[in-house]
This record gives sequence, C-alpha cells and structure tokens, in this order.
Amino acid sequence: MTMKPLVATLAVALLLSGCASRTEEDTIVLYGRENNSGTYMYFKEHVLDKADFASQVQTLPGTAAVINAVSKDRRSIGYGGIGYVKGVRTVPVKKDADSPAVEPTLQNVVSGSYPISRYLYFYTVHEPEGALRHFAAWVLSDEGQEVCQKVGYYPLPPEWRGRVKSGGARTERKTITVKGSDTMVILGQRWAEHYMAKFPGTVVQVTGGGSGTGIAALINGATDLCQSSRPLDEKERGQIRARFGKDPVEIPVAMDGLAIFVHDSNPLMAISLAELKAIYTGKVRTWRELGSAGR
Amino acid sequence: MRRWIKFVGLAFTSLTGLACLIIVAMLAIILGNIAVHGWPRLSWEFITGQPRAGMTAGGIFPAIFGTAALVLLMTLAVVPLGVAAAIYLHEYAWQGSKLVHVVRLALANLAGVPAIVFGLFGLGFCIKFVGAGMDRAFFGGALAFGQPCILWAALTLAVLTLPTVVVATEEALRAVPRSYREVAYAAGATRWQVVRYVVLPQSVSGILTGTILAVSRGAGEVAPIMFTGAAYYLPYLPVKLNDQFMELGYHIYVLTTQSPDVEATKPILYATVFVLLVLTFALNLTAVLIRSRIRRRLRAG
Amino acid sequence: MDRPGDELLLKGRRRIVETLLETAVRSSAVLVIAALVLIFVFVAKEALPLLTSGDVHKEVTPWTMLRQQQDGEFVWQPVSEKPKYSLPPLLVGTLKVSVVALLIAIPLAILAAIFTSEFAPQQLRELVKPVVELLAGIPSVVIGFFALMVVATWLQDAFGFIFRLNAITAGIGLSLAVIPIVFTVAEDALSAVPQTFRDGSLALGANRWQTAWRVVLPAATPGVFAACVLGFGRAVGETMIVLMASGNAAVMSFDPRESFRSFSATIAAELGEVVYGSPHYHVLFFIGAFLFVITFLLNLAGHWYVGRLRARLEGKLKA
Repeated sequence: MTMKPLVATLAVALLLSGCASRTEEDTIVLYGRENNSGTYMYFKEHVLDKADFASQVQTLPGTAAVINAVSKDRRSIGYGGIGYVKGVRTVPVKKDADSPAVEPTLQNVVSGSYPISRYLYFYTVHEPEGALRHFAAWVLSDEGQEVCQKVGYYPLPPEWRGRVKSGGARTERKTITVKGSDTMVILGQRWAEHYMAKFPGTVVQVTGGGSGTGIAALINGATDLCQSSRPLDEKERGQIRARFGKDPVEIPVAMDGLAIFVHDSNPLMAISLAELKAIYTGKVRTWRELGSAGR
Repeated sequence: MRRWIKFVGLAFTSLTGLACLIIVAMLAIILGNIAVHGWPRLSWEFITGQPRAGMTAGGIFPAIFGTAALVLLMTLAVVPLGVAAAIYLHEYAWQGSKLVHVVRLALANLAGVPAIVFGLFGLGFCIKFVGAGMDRAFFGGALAFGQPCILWAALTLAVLTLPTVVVATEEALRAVPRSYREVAYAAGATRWQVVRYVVLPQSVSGILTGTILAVSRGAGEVAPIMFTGAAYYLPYLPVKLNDQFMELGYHIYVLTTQSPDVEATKPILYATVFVLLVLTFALNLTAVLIRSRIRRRLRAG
Repeated sequence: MDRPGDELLLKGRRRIVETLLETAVRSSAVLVIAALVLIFVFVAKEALPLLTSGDVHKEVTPWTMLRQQQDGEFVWQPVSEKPKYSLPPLLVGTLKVSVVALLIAIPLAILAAIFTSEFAPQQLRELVKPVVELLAGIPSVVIGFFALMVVATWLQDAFGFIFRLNAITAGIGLSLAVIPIVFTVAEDALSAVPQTFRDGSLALGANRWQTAWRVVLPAATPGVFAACVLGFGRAVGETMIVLMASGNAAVMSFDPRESFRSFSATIAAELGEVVYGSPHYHVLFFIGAFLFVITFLLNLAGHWYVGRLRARLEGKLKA
C-alpha cells in the first residue's frame, strides 16, 4: 500500500522538474495591468499598435502593485502612471532609434516631447449640470489642477481648462458617484477630499476598478461620472448612443506620462517604443537580446 | 528485528508529531509577522479616524464600521433562518425522509461553493433580478436597489455562512439529552413547547458559537462582496440599506494593489491586516472556547 | 405512527399554531435547498447565451474556447481588437496550483490527523484541534497578502525563481487554506474507527504505530480519501489567494515556477469591467457555472466516500 503512491509521487515530481523551463536566466520578467485598465488599453493601442500582449505578462490589479513587484524583482520591467513611481527607476523613452531619450517630466509631457503621454478624462452621459458641473469646473480650476500636481500627475495646459465653465449651482445635498480608472482613483479621491472640505454639502464618492469598469458603469447607468485613463473607443461610444441616444461628454482633466520602470539595479539607459513593443509582445525575451544599445 | 520495528515506530510517530508542529508553526509565523509589522502603527486614532491624504495617513474607522454593519445585517438574516432549518432537521423531521436527506446534501454542497460564485450569485440574482425588479415595482425605474449595496452584500454573505450556522445549531440541539425532551412530552407539552421551553434554552451557547463563526467568516470573505457593494473610498458611513460601504478585507485587497505610494502605505496596510486578523481571531477563539466547554460538559454529563 | 406532541391529538387554536410553526421551520429547511438551486440557476442563466445566442456566437462559442486561438497558441485575451477566449491556459493554471497546494497540504494534514487521533494525549488533542480551526479562520485575503508580500520574497531569495509570483508561492498560500479541511475530515474519519479495532490489534502484539498505520488508517481510507477530495474542491474554488499571488498570466505551462491564471481569479479580475450582456460577461458566468458544477461533483464524491466509510465500519462491526 505504501510503495505505489510514493513511486507515483516521485515520478510526478521528476516529470514536473523535467518539464524543461523555457525561461532562461536573464529572462525579462514582464509586469502589466489587468485588461480592465485604461493604462492597459492605452499601452496596447499606442505602444503595441493594437497587437496582443504576450501571455507571460503578469497582470496585476493596479499600478502600485506593478511598482511593488518591479521593486522586488531585478529582472523585471513594468509600466504605469507616472504619479505612483517610488522605489524603482524610470527609464527615458525614445520615440524611435534615432530620437533622443526623453524623461517623463512635467515639461516633456505637456509639450508632447515625451512619446507616451496621455490625457486623463472625465466622462458623463449628459452635459454636466448643477452640482456635477460645479465639481467638474472646480477640478479644471487652478485649485483642482494644483491638487493634481500634488498627487503626482500633470496639470492641463491652461488653454484646455475652459471646457466646463463654472457656474453650476450647487443644489442641496447631492451625491456625485465617480467610478473608473485605478490610475486616477487616488487623484479622484484627493479631488473629492479637497472639494468636500471646501464645499460641504455635496458628497463625492470615488471607487476604482479600472477605466473599463467605470465605462461599463457609465453604460449601465450606475455612475454619474466616469474617470478614464484612455478615451472611449468606437464600440463604447456606440453603446452609449444606443442606450441614451447621444454621444458621451468627454472632459480632459489632467495629463499623465506613462512611465516605464525597472528595478533600481537595472542599468538600462533608454528604451525605444519599438523595443517596448518587441518586449511586451514576447518577441524579445531576454535582456541580452534587447541588445547593447540599452546597456 | 524488534528494535527495528521500535525505531520505525518512533520515527513514524515523530513524523506525525512534526507535521502537527509544522502546521502550528505556519500559523505562528503568519500571526507573528503581521503582528510585528502591524502593531507599531496601531493607535486609538487609527481605529477611530478617517483615512487621509490618499490612504497614507489617518485611520480606518469607516472600514471597521462598514464591516460591522455588514456583518450585523448578515447575522439578522442568517441566524433565524439557520436555526429554524436546524430545528426542523433535528426536532421535527423524520430522519429517514427524503427531504432531510436532500437538505443535508444541499447544506454540504453549499459549504463547498467557491466564494466567487457567491459573488456571481449576488450580481446575477440579488442585483440584476431582485434589485432591478424592486426598482421597477417600487421606484418607478430609478436606480435604487438594482445596484451594489450593503443589503445585497449582506444577503450574499448570509447564504455563504448558512451551513456554518445550521451545523453548529444542530450540534447544539444534539447535545441536549433526549431525556429532557421525553420528560416534557410525557408531561403533555406540544412539539413547539418542547423546543421553545426545553431545548432552545439549553442550546443557546451552541447557537452562539455558530453565530460567532459565521460572523468571523463573513468579516473575512472578500470575493463575494467585491461586486455586490464594497467600495474603496466613501466619504460617508453606510446608513441606508442601499448605500455602499467600506470594508476591512476589501480595503486590504485594494491597498495591496492600488495604493498610491507603496512604501508609505505599507505600515497602514500591515496595521489594517492586523486589525482584521485580531478581529477574526478573537471571534474564532471565543467560539472555540465556548464549543470546548460544551463538549466537556457533554462528556461529563 | 404516533409521535410525541403529535398535532393530531391537539385541538383548536393550539393545533393551528403548532401546524403553522412546523410549516415555518420546514420552509426554512426548504429554503436551504432553494438557495443552492437559485445559485446554480442564476449563474447558469447568465451563462446560457453562450450556448444559445447567435450574437454571442459571432465572438465566441463553447467550441472555440477549447481550441487554439491563433498561431497555434492558446490565448486568453478577451479585451482586444479580436477577443480571444481560450480556456485551456486557465484550466492548466487552476490545476497547477491545486496540485502544488495538495502536495503540501495532504501529507501535512493527514499525518497531523493521525497524530491527533492516535498518538496524542487528550490535552494535546484539545490544543491541536482549536489551532487548526484558528488556521481555518484566517481570511483568505490575509493569506494572499502574506504570500504576496512575504513568501514570494523569501522563496525568490532562497531558490532564485525567475518569476516572483508563481504557482509555488500561490500554492503554499493555498495549502494554508486547504490544510484545515483535510485535517478536520481526516481526523473525524480516523476517530470514527471503533476503539475495538485498536484494542484487537494491540492485543495481538502490534505496537501503537503499527496499529495506526496498518489497521486504523486502512479502515478509515474512504474518509481520508474524502478529505483529499474535499480539499481539492477547496483548492479549485479559492479566489483571493490566487488573485493576489499568482501573477495572473494566462500561460499554458506545467512549470510550477511560472506565473499562471486560474478560473476564479479570472472571474474576480474581469467581472468589474464587463458590460452587462456582452459576450465577455456571458463567458465569465459560464466559467462560474463550470466551477460550481466541478465543486458540486467533488463534494458529492467526498460525501459519498464518507458514507462508504460509515457503512464499512458498521458493516464490519455487524460481521
């Protein structure tokens, strides 16, 4: 009775270890976001040119989790919103092989010279009225944009800030539901904190879940305002049109650089968009393959 | 030959003892690690304060309140139902009947359903079916109960913890000696009178054990409430049945994965985990102590 | 058959009250069954369009989910220009971590159960059982947190894993959740073996460990096997631990040192973003229904074995 299970276990163990691991010593360990994330979608569209991520990208539910993982893993690389970066190195990005490598600083993002910068959006179904409008206008005001900078994101260039004119009347206690981007959830929450401190009487509640979650909530009618780190795509606009009979209202509220980070000990000096695409679609698998250009 | 057998015997016995030790050690390591990292950050302000500065400072009171409110609602739903079902199974039903067999089977399977499937149930039945129906019938189509809220999260957890309550109650009912019942019946009492005046009073501590275990389980499960009502940051406490709520377990999950500054929130994270652990631990320990007292009384009497 | 307190002997108002109360408690019991049925019905209901709806079939059918999606690879990428739903990587991931967890949990739990029921003095028994119950009481989110923050780093430092979050890390965390179940059921099974078995064996000259290993354990085999089956069911269904510690990469690989993605973690990670009624939504519910059926069957099997144990022990006694 005892020998057979033992032999079986040993056989299985040998088999498992014998399963030649396709991973080499200096494999690039890829970290990314879950597919409900606007950051994920943005990266896919603008860096991967809509190609699929390699299946070995480890997907984590939040930029902070990605940073946490990268900070502990010396072979790793990850991407995420600039506002969260701590404890890892950001790598300057080159648009193509001949361009200079650009750091994701405020100037570079606002001027557009950092190749992977994006807008962060509020989406509503109807043109904002009343308390919602007051809140949106405040977010776009100097105060709101200052909060944005304190959190670590970049404010909108001044000419963009007039999208929602202030003047919404704050009617009696109203609750504003904000759902969506995990990239923006901290920002949204800080906005809510400051706004509610300044204008008691309106309640702003913020939940995350990913841009996709917020957009789905907007379509399902479950939220007033959706935070999204990517623009709505045609399919989603069509769904809103089908459900509400009109196009959604798009309000850019901040700017963000999508930072690429690596472990502190990684000497990578710069990386180009083409190289990022090759890594994240699985075509380039090891640091050695990435080439001496980076090291 | 005899010495060899003795040696193997000793080796085997110590192996089994070692296994026990390893399990106890695993428990100790987790508790120790969390206590060591979480204790320093604990303070009165932490337990009673609001989260501030993007969860890097302040306290977790809303999460504690939300967890308490959730679990209270859940208890109100699950205890009457579970106790009634157990009373039927043990006091009323004929033990060979088909119904009893099926109910016990259902209980056993309910206990094994994955937590995330309960979440799907909460979404598909409570929110999309009952909630949407309620909205159509009572609120003229407005979004009141057809969305994630504390009511549905509590009901989902109630279904999840139902087996715990039923099993614990049945154990308590079984502990009441048959002679007690027989005396009462002989004196002319009806079945309900026997249950109400003789059996139930004797089973209170067992029912309490079941309730405590259910509460502990409910406070710890995250998957069922992720889509049925828990939220990351709410500036108000849940006061209406269709409010969302913050919750300790969900807060831990979100902080681990979405905190803005991983290094700054780590102490808070550990402290929150510590609070949740102490809470579930205290509940479990109480239930265990009550239960072993009952069992000891059973053995003696 | 006249039972004590039989309602037929009562008159008037008393009888009405008693009948009402009996109906009330019986309904509660029936509600238990109803709950289980409702769960399955409503999860399956949302999954049904996957089998029946033509619209959904444009994007995915049950058959395409089993096949390779592109370039001969099994790919799970539901959010994409061309959504790809391929179940095999998820299946492999779920099985991989369950096997790792069971390889750790089953030996530990069964050996500990043998110790508790055969060798330990009464006081130690009173200590170990509560300890295991306390282990069962640790919320899975806490175990997942611990695995992610502490265990992953320990293991990577010790073994130099390339991927920090992999099936071994998650498997160790998962085993902490599985051990209590296997221990409890196995210990119950071993204790249920009548003392006469042990006395007879000892009387024939065997010592304690021979008795435990060659008499008690074989007698309790169906129960112990049931413990393993129930543990497997728990491992397959666990969500939070795997969600936090697995890396969630839908890789089709049997190597436990690589990241993986399990069924339950997929549902938890993606359910928030699906639009109600989209093919992705139906696929997730389909996976949920599938999980329900699997754990249901495993539970049935487990309890059938426990019944077998009971019958065997009673049967042997009669003979």
